[in-house]
Amino acid sequence: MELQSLYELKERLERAAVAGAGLLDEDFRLKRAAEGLEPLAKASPVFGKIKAGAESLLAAPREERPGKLLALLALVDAVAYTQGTVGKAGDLLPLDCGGSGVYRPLSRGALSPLLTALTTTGSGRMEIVQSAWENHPEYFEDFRVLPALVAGLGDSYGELAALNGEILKKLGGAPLPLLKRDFDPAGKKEMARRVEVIAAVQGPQATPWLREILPQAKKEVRGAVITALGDDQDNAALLLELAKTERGANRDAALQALALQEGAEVRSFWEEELAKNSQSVKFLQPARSDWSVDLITAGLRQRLETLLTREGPASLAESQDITAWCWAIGQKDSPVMLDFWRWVDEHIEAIDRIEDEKGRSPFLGVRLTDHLRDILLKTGPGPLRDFCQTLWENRPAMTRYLILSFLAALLSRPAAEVYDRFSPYLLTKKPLLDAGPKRAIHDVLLRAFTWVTWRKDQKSYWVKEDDRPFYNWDNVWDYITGQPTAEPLDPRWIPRLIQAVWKEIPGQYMPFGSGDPVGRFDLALASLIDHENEEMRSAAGTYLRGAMLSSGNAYVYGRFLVDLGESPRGVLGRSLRKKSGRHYLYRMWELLFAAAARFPAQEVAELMEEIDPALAFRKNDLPLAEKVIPWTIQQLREGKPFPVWAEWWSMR
Amino acid sequence: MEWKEDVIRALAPNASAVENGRKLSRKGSFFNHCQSEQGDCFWADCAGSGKNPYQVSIDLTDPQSPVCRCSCPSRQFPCKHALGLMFELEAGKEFPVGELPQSLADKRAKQAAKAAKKAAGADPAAPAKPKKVNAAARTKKLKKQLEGLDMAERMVNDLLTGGLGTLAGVSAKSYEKLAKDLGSFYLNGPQLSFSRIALAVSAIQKEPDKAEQCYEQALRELIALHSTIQKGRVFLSEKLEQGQFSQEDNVLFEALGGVWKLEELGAAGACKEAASVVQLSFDVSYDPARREYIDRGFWADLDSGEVYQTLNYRPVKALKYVKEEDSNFSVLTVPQLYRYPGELNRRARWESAMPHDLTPGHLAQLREKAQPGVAAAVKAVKNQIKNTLSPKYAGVLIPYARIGAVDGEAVLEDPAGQRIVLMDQPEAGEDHRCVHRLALLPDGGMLEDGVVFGVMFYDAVQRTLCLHPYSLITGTQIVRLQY
Repeated sequence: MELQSLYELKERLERAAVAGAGLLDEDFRLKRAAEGLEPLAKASPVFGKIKAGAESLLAAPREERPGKLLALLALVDAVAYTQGTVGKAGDLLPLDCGGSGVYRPLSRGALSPLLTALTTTGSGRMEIVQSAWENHPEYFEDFRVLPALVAGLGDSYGELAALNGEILKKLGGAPLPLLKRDFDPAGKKEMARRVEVIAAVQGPQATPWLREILPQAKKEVRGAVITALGDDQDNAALLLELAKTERGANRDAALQALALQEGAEVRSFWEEELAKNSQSVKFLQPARSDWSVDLITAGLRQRLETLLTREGPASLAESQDITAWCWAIGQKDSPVMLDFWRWVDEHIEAIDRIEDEKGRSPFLGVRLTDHLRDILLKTGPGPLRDFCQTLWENRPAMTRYLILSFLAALLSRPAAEVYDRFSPYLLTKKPLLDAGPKRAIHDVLLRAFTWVTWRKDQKSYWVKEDDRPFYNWDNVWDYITGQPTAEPLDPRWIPRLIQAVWKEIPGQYMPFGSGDPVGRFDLALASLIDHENEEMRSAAGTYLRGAMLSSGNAYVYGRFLVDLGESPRGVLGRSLRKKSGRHYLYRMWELLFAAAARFPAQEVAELMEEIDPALAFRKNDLPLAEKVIPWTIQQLREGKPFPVWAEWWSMR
Repeated sequence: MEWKEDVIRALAPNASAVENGRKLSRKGSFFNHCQSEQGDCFWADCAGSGKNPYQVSIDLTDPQSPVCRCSCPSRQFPCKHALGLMFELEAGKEFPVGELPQSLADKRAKQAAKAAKKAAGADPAAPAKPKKVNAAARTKKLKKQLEGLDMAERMVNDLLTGGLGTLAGVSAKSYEKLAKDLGSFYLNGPQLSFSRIALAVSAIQKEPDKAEQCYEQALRELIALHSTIQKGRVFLSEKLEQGQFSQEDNVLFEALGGVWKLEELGAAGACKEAASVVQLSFDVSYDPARREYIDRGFWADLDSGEVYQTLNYRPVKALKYVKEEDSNFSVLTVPQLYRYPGELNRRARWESAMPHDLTPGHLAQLREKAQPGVAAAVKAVKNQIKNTLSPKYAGVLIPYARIGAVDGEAVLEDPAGQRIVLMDQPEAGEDHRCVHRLALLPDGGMLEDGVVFGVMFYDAVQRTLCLHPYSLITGTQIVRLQY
């Protein structure tokens, strides 16, 4: 049935309602629409009723019109609803299902905050996403969350966008279809991040897709695509071509990608590139290929030779150039590299003598030695390690070599042999002759111990990749890397270190994130103790008790002792009095709480009895300390557990 | 009782309370953990900002409805401290057996006495005591309502005579003020309608390009209001003449602004015993006219196949203190399910329910209860929406052979080959969009041979009936496209 006249009437009635029933007299279109209903009215009584209603409305007195208009509209609506069509003709094609993720029965309470954080703006979103990822990583696999996470790569808050990217990388292959769906090669940062995620997940397998989108890729996306092409060795020819045609940041991306490629053509490209633009060497820093080693060692050696053979100082540009080449060494380790280091060793004194235009040393020798040490600590056994072992022996005047030789020996030689070889240089008495040079060697050896630590999670000694101060927190090895020593540290080192005549290592550190800082020697010593070695513990315990007493740093030294399984009883009270009125009650609770986890309640009670609140704590903490200390002693005596801080706090 | 995060979420008033409770537990704010000898009561102290710690307890005398108590001043229930204590239980913290504190023992005894009294009073054999009806007061109220309907009619007539186009800016506000007066006539329903009309027209000033939609919305509201006034007048006059004051199974009572009490629904015979229901979808929306958030759940009755909806209203003013409902994934056995008057998707309420795991058997039962096909569902929905006072949409279960696309539009085809367009209901809002998620489903097989639960509505632009899909019922699960 052709219902156009019904819909026309409906529209006129609706317009009349907006314009006002008072104007109906002048609405000739409505009259015409009512007349147009005639054929339908003849066909069906309900349309007849509508037509009659329309005529009645038009003829009605002014005050009755609103009611009649609404009644008629209600009838027309009802008929329109019942006459509503259903369905759609045509070929029913399957929906292009992404097949991404899974379905999880997640409640609105669980899902809504996460989806809101991913899809809206404003503060506080990062914490929600981070917390959801830590507590419920499975939420992110849900098919409702994944698209929001992918869209979140374009979040205006860069840190959140980066976090979303990291999460996507950890989800593996599941988000790939979504990442590729609706991909815009001419898009912005969001699309560039998609490329990074896809490349990280797929590696070389991403090449066909990357090649497909490359022609349309623009700006940031193009740079990301070119960088990603570097993950596949088969892309060398394409990247060589791109290095010729691209400009600016995209060319840098091509160089970055080419640094990871192999082949004669790549090598000759880099030879040409480095000859034209020496600073491009920075892109070779992550490269590990033989050609990159050849080029860098040859280039660096040639530059150093120029300076060594030429009379006169190094210019600023030359210094910067050599610095860039030194940095490009990265972690490269190969026979050619070893030859280079031998050459450096042969010329080290001359390199040290190089000066700049202002007569200052650019420290090229020191930088090169530091690079050699970094490579040693990041690579495994081999000729380079053997070479490092002999460095100091062959050139004892070069004291900075001592660190390399000592660490290389710890990594490869029996512990006793290392002790016998190096311990004489750790002085326990002031030398009568040559005190200056001997102290220099002594200090370097002390500093070398800042790279060594006992790993309580592995119950073994490790040499860290760097000497950043740290203490053995439970999760510290999530952030710090290194390699195990050949044998456990010789226990004789501990008493020798304790007896060392000089104990200064530059720097201070707060190993528990609070309290007074301690010197790096004490920190290094505390980190060197094998907690299961009674001899070491006992020697270190005595030393740390003394330090606790003399420094008044009851909290930090107390924590060291408790960690070792040694009770600070006997020195705690006196140490607190050393810095009377300056201690925080919360720190003391932390120390005692840690002690309660290691020692019997009786021991902790006796330890607490040493504390005189009036002579220990800050004025603000004193009233509470006077309550909680005796109360806790009483609790412990009654066999109750050591209270949590909240319990102490509630007594204020 | 096994403490899982889902259980804690279900008990929590809102999502932020859950997170706050979790933080309290994580940072070690609880101490003096204890449990009763029977293991049916757990308590601990929780450090707060005050001098004294809060005493928090969870009483599991009835494991189905844990009683949380806390000495904190929060009006949220359960408060973050009680939720934190639940997280302590979830984390498997040690709760040594201890002597029940006197204050807690007293409260438990009082509660037990109350329950015993209630049980003693609820003798099913005893005839229900008829409630005293204050006839004079009811008569007065009915007369007042009739007066109010006259006033509402005058307002409608004035509005229509001048035209909806005149209702803008200041005049919209004055109409809203006038509408407020209807509250004095016990006509909250019409009052709400006027607020909706004013809001719709005011929206035109903010978004002039949506003028047509806004007028359309205002007009549909006016039509329903006019009908309410006409039918309401007859309904109330008859009641007044007959001196009949009890509630009836009639939608007009609610349309005029009446609020049903459970016992009134029971007295009107709208209570079903031992119902088994399963939630099909859950969503939350904001109603600016009511200034309330509405938690809406669609539920299917496993015995009858009837689709109910639960509506939980949370006023903005008291948002923190009213429990937010959440999705439910269990089959609930409801001892007494109260149904409001209506046609399809009657509103349902219950006081207690026992959850069970949803099994493939339940899903098979659910799939059997779906409409035979698109045609039957369309017929049922058309029958509802043509009624002026009924909602212009209805939730239905429809079987499908496949879901695909025709000219880029999602379309459902039932086993008989009949089709319906799948479209998001515009009035539902952006955050209710579901159709796009069909193409994101993890398994394309989910789009074949299943049952869809969706809300069918009339699309005035295409003059066609469409379905807003909310969930797919497969042989193994209910896949929710939203929550």
